[in-house]
Amino acid sequence: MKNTIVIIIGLLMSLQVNAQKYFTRTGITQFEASEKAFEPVKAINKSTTAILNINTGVVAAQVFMAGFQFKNALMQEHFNENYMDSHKYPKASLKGVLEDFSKAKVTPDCSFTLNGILTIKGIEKEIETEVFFKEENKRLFVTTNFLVRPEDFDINIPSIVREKIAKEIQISVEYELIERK
Amino acid sequence: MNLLKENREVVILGAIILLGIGLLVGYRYVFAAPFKTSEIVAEYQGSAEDLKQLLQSDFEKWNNKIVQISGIITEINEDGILLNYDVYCQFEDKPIKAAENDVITLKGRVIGYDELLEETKLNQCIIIQ
Repeated sequence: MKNTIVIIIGLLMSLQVNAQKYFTRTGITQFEASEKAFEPVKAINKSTTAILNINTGVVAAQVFMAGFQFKNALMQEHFNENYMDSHKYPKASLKGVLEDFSKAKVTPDCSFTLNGILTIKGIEKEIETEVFFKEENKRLFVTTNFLVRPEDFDINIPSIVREKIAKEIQISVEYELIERK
Repeated sequence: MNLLKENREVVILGAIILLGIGLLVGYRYVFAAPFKTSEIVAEYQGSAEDLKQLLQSDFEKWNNKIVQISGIITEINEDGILLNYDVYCQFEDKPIKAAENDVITLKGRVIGYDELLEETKLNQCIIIQ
């Protein structure tokens, strides 16, 4: 009898644990490195994977370099081949924890501080950013944006185009997370 | 040389036309939009299962390439479909005209192996059959 209860509790707990993750396969990650008066340097990636554990506030996100789409084919080629070395480093990732996160605290226009590690081109860097949450139709809408510096990730910008690319690159993120079953 | 002098207008006009064509070609090269999936010939055709094997053996060769694969739809949502439980194919054109358990052939770009969900990921997919 005791064993049965333990097993039932164990099963219930495992169900509980499974139901505690929210995720997306099609999150949006954009970056913009445009300078005024020059051609816009920006791209969008609509294939970001992100997982949030709503019990612990642990976040993991991953984005493929090959998934960034530019308006201009030549710029896309240069991005993959010259700047990001996409063959060698096909993905970038962000792992971190949302401070004091709990799903019950999600109200319209609420935000949590994310402390995490951003990995681009195999180089890790700590970041801290404010992440905004909204819940609608059982979906969690997550947005944030932050700045990164190309030199922090060993991204060399040739002097001939240095004027055309911003010193700080704005990264913005929009995820629509659903419960993982 | 005399011939050149006599036909100066023609030569100048020819040079201007050539320059114009050169500029146009150059402009179209520099500012061209990326190719769409439908415009590129698939470099691999086969089953979703075999594609996984190929990616395991030589990921770098196949990453960022257009492939045409067949499989059974095990999950479908508004943005894409899951083939054989672990190849996620994302679509640009919606709604997707397919249903769960359909056998389907589609073309798309391999963008990587997703370690978080343990799935191969394709984007810009279009249905072939």
